[in-house]
Amino acid sequence: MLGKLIKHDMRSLLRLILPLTLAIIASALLCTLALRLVVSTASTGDGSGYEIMIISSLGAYIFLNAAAVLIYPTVVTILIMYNFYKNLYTDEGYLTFTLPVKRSSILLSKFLTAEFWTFISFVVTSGCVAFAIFFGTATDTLYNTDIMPFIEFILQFVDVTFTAPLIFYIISMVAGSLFQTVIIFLAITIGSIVAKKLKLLAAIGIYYAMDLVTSIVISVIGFIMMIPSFMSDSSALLSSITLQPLVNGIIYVGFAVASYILTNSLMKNKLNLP
Amino acid sequence: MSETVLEARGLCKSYGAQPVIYDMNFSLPAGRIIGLLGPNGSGKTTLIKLAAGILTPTSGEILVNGREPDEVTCGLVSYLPERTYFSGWMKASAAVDYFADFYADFDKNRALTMMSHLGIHPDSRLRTLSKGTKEKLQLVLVMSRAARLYLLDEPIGGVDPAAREYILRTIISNYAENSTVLISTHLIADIEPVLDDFLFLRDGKIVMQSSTDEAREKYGMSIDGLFREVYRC
Amino acid sequence: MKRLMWHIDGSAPLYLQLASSLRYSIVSGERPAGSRIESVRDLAADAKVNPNTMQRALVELEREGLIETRTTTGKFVTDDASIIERTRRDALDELIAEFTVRLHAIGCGSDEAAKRIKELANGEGTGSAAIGADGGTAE
Repeated sequence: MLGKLIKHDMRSLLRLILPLTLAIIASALLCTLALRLVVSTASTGDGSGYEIMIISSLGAYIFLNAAAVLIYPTVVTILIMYNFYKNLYTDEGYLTFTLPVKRSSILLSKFLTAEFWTFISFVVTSGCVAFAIFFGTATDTLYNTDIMPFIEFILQFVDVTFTAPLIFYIISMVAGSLFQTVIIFLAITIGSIVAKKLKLLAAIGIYYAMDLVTSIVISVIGFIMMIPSFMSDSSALLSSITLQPLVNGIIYVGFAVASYILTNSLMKNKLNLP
Repeated sequence: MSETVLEARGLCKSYGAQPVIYDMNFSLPAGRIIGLLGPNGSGKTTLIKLAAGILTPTSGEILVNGREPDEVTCGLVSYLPERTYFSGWMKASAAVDYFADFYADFDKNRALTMMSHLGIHPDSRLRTLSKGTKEKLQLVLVMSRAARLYLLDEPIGGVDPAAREYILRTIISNYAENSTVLISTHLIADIEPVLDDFLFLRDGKIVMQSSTDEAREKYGMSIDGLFREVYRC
Repeated sequence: MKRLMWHIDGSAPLYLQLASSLRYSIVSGERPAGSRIESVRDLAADAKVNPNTMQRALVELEREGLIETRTTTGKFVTDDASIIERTRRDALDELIAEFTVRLHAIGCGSDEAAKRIKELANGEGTGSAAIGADGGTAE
């Protein structure tokens, strides 16, 4: 049954998110072209008024596109959450919650599909930026030939001491993403099921409250971790800085798990559709 | 077999401080068509939503086949709410496939046949259908399931007489053998010939429960007439 | 076969009225002798009544011998033309009895009525209604 839920959730989200994603990718391709034009005009031009016009109009387009690509992940999150709310807590909920499936499966399907599309949006955003930099900053070559040597130069310095922090950093990013998804789920659920009035306000309030509490916990624990380094030497400081992202990741995961369990419990035992 | 299909024990439901269902007790057997009758606001829809599991009791219990509403009872219960619960962008055929996907007791061919009789093209998007047609489509899907308990919330309220006929005929032709159909309505005269039993609801309490034959004999009038007597202001 | 009209009002128990409508359809030839009768469910759906009630109506007609159940194949109108004829005669007698009561209420006798029926059927005489041989009203 979980597979069927996932199938239908993916279909709904695909319908919402794919057109936007394709538009962003298309726009990024055009933007890369525009960037090349700007770069070549700027480097070979003679500063005539005609050129200034081209550069400023293309530049405006590039700026807008950059803004769009940066906003895109947030828009994807909004679409995911809109779908979550619509499918569960509007009239559609009458269908969803009377299916012969466990409520926990419903939540799990929503969670997995949300994370999938969040990941996709991250890949698309990174891909567009990388693509623009790689192909857009070149002048007379296809791609910017300075980039690969630059990367190789950096990689020289990468050794064991870099890989651990890098992995921890990635862990904290992923954990942060899971955390954000789950607390929005919880906020929407509390707003829809528990709050009697001002449901939207309650939802927003819960979200920020969770965010604040987690940030406070992270700061406090971060500070505690720094304490040993005040006493002794710089190696303790370095290890606590390195460990910081991992600890943050664990805190995020802990709060995410707690929020998930709470959301699951509310859906299962306290459901009241108006 | 006269097992109990739906049972309420001390069932209470309040919205905040406002009680809607108050200490309700009843037991409905299998194989009967039962009318849940009462004026608007008497708690009919709330009771049906509790049986469907989309409301949680404030206290007491409601049991479907002896279980509290969960994913197993959802497989036994075919619920038709008063509202449309499909997205507008969905095609009619997609709605049919959705039911076929999740409900093992769904008869897809029967649903498609009834859909074509209604003149609904499988590829038409639901938002292009009129309200009445959407309601009939949902009824067709619900009645194409071989459920143990059908919960129909006001299926004939607010529709024209021709639609009412279609809906009643669809219900009678399609409910599964030996299953129970619980129909809530305030249109007594239309539904009376269809009912085996009935419950009168007022202000969240059951004020009468009987078979239609016994009540007609005992009080010497139709259930419609009896209703007017009982609910006289 | 034209659609069966179910005559239902509050005057008698529902199952008896359903039986009456079915009986009429048989004696009028709308449901010919030996013809198949739809399932209880389909009949009930058509009349918009509870199948149990329709079942009781069918049981009545089975008691009268108008309907017989052949196991595995379903219910059929009887082949026995004499039973149908007898039922038809009974229905006619019933109609006549009702008619006679109303005749006496306007001070007419049976002989006068019978003569008048013949006249109107032959298209003779004036009257606000000329009765055709098939029972319909001619324009």
